[in-house]
Amino acid sequence: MSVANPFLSGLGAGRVLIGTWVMMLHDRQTLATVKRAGLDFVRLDMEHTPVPLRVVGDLARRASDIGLGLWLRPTGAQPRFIEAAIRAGINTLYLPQIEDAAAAERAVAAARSAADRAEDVHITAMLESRRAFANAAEIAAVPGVDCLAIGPADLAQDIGTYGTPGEAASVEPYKLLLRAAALQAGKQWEMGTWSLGDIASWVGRGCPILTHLTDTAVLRQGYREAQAVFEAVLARRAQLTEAGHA
Amino acid sequence: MSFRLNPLKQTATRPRLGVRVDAARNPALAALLKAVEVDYVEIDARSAGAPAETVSASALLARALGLPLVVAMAELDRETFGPYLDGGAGGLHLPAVASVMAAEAVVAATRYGPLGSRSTFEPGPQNDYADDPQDLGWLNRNLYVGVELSTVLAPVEIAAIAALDGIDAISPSDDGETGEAWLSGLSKVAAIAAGAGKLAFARVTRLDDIEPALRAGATMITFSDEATVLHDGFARAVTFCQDRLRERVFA
Repeated sequence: MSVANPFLSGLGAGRVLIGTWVMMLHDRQTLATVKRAGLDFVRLDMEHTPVPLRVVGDLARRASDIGLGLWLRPTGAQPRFIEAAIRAGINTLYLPQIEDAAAAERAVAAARSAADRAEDVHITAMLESRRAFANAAEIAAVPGVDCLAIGPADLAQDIGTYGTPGEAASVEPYKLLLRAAALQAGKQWEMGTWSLGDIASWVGRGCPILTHLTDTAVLRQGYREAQAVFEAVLARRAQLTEAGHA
Repeated sequence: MSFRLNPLKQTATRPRLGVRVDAARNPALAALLKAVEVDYVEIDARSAGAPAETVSASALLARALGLPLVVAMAELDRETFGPYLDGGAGGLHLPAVASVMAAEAVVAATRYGPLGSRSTFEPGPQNDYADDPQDLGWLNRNLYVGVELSTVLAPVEIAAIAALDGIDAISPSDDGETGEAWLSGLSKVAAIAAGAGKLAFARVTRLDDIEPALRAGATMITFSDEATVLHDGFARAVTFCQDRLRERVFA
């Protein structure tokens, strides 16, 4: 059974979809929480987290029930991973490491042949290397590729800037390339945001889909904020005590 | 065999900050909480979201990481909290203690003999699968137990409870309030706890509540829960995004 796909109808007229990666809290309560917070979608990641496909399928049905979009990044873009995801009820796929148009065509063919209704499938091609970006226009033009995305960390590794002060600046031109390729082909494009400043920047540049942080990043930030307040109060008290003794 | 010491049982020179976990869904959360350097985690078993088996997996990971894991229970009876203790929880927060006798029953149910009458079986999460026979006296000393006090208790009864061997911490009853009346109750309880050399714990849900709770004398503060932190973090981003969109439309 396939679940409804809000990504095929939720965009247009200047609308922006905003969602997040769920890397740890793979459960129904998290879906309800982020929906209540106003997010449009969640993306689950089988490439970098050990979430089982049966859990993803269950969450996709739950997400559909509450009107929340759910994307899946499968382990890889090979047909066997795509077919398994489609069979589990996932029809919105965020495919990593698409290097050229041929890879994109294979992925689209696998998804469409596995789906009950090919028109319900939504495919995002992730470009994560200099070679992929050299082929960006051809990948974007593949019928059935609905959206382009960038994998900035792997791209930075490919460029040789990962973890260096120049990393962000080295990746920035590729984000603009991605935008241009998508707009030229009349496709959607998606951008990851890691701060409110990033959101402002990409909304200003017309990005229709934003993926903001991850569940674990928000938890880390929230708890660190609490800890900072706690430490500040303790420091103030210590100062007052010291002053009292002086 | 070296035992894993429970940091909540070590003498503290400053108050501790913990966080509440509403639903123990993924033990990996313990690793994240250790990374952000909170002092303890309180798993809330008062709702249906904390199956004992998952809590046990979280507790074992937390023990290995040196992060104390406390389970907040909805009931006082040993049949309910026993599996959490044997599952490796480093401590319990127990609700609605309304008499000295009830507090003595808590001690009896949570401590091995001769202090109490907690049942034992084989080595397990509770002693990190270590020695057999187990050193029950050491396990008693390594377990943290805090109780929430009913509002009906008189100060003299609170003092008697705080003085009990086997009660490590006390708290005013948790009815979700953090207003003046609650702070006043916390202040009284904290003063009695300090007099007995015990801890005073409190739960807060907002950043603004941390300072008043510390000022009232709380020595353990449990902050919010993961669902609230997630909700608030994402809601802030969504509102910001919508504001930027409106600006774009009107530009």
